[in-house]
Amino acid sequence: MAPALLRARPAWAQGKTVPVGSLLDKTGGINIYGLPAIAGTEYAVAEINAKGGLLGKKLELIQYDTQSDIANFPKFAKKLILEDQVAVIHGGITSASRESFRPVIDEYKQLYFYNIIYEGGVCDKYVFVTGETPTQQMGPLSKYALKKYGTKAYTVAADYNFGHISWKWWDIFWRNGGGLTPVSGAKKGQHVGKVEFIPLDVTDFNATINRIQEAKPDVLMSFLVGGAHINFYRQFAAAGLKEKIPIISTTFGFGNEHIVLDAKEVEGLVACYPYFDEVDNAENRVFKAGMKKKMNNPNYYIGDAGAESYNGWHFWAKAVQKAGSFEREAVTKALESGIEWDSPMGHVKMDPASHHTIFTMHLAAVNKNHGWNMLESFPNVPPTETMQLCDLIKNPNQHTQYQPK
Amino acid sequence: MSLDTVGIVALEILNSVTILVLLALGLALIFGMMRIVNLAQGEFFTAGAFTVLTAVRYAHLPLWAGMLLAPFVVAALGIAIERLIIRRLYGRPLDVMLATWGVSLLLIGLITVIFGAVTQGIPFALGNFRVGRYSYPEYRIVMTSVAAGLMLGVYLLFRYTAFGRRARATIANPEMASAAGINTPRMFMLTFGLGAGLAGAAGAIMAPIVGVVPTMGVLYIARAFITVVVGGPIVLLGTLSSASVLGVIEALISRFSLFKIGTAGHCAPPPCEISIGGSAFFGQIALLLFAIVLLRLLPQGLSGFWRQRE
Repeated sequence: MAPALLRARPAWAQGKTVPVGSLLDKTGGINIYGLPAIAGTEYAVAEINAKGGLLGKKLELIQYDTQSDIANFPKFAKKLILEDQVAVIHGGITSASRESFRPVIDEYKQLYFYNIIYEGGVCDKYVFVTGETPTQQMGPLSKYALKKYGTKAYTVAADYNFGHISWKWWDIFWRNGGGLTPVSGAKKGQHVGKVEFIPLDVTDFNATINRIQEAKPDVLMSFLVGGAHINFYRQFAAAGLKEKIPIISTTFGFGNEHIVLDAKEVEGLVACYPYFDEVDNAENRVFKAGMKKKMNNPNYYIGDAGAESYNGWHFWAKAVQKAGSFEREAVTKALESGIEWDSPMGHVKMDPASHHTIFTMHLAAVNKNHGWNMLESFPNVPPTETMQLCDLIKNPNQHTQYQPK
Repeated sequence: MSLDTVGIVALEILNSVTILVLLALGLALIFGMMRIVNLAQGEFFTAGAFTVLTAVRYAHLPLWAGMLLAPFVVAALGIAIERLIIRRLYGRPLDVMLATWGVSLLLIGLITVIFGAVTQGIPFALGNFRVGRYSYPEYRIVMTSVAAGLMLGVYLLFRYTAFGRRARATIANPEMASAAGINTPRMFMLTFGLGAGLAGAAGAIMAPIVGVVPTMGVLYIARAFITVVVGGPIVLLGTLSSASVLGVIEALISRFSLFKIGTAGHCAPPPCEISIGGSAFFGQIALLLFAIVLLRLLPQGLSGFWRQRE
């Protein structure tokens, strides 16, 4: 018998509260993303509860610290589903952690939100993604770098599925001049040296930095991840390369690396996210003031990971309200009706077919004051690489991840 | 290979050896000499880094003052742990392992409670010098000098001072040393404190190039143990020679591709192949593999092998 059939139907209709679950790394090397994501999560749930909860019930947030250890994800996901009987699970940070418990999500048909930047391609009826994907970041980044810096790129990437799949997409975008297919009239990128995949626990980048100097790239693309890899930027600057080789990245900044590092080490590095604290709109002003108060720190920097977790919970809350139910089928149907709203990062829309999010993307450069200078904005950028492959309305029985062959 | 590449590879090797020496020196005393499997050694390293962080960020001392302070703070911590816990467990190696593992978790927890589980950085002066086409950070040369200085200092201390003679006598034969009037519990305590202090010094000197986070010790402890084990029974020279051999292997494999194997699937530009060697990943693997093979062939470690041949 399938375990799903053994599962008692949760009594969400009866109780005064509804349990909801979050799996994030509060400790360990990945907590540079986990801590801001936890802050965004707690803030969003408190905000929803302060407005009376959902369907007349308060949310009871159950969080487990997954400790930057992959083995904890399937374990705690099962606990959330079977013991705590949560209505929804949010969380997962590294793609390795997500893929470790997505089978659990699928086995128990559990509604799940993944709220962080990743390598794209997840196409799963039970999964909704509020993070950005390769097209949304690499399109603007490669066009900017080709125009501003030159055509020769060197790539350093974290050595797990995120880094490897990101590299495949990046290669396509870079050689096409910023698109999934060749962009006419654009300069085309090329690779010099090699792509380097670096395990998450490597802290010494001496040889890598010297190899980059040998290859003499016009620009360095970084898919580095986690606390240990922050050292790369410091050692790169210490070798005197910051002024010589500009860095672009799809990962730098959403773990608030620009707060940890000194301006003289990373000023000028360019990244592309839907959210920076510097994004200016009415919703973000309220969000920033509220988060600073919650964190009791007038200088608190929220960052992309915090804002996306916040958005994930609100996407879910809006769908629950629209559906008038906590049941997965009803909430999924509501989400697939194309929910859109004005979030702190601007207008966001859930793409019904791919379960991914369409945002306004911003290119920005690290400034002297541990913040970002906004360079350019691109409204309503879709996650094209995933949308072109994934249609969960036409073909709902998909639980896979697409990637370039 | 051009001359500047030879130079930069030599510097990379020097750097790998330096890091292994820094990591292993304190453990060489605690594990190599005293035979205490101290699983909290990584946290002594962490404590050194956090001492520097506290001194620089909160007490606003200059960086060098924080670095000078770190070994003393961590030595005091080590002595306290020896007095409270290790002392009661001499001659019970498994219990010591369990207890120091507990101490390790406790220290990680304490540091997390005090400083938060966030990664913090210590910026430092960013001087660099040129080697042909390359520029290289001066700080790494400073690290090598400090490692050499510590190594020499420990050697002189144990070889030529009264303290060193007593410590060696105590460790070689505690009953005899005690009968000869040496205060052996005190010698054990001081040696343990010295080993802790050396780890603290290593953490302090490496703090500016690595992220300072409560769990950082975990990243280094395996390499520290491997270096000491491969070094064998002649503790200091063994550790130095094993750090040299392992450092050379790690640096060379990190740098150069050994051979390429074809792969299917996406790649650019073609041909589709991945090279074995030529990245930090393979450097680490090579270090571990080499250590395993070496210990299979020379179970007594490098210095045990010399001793047999004499």
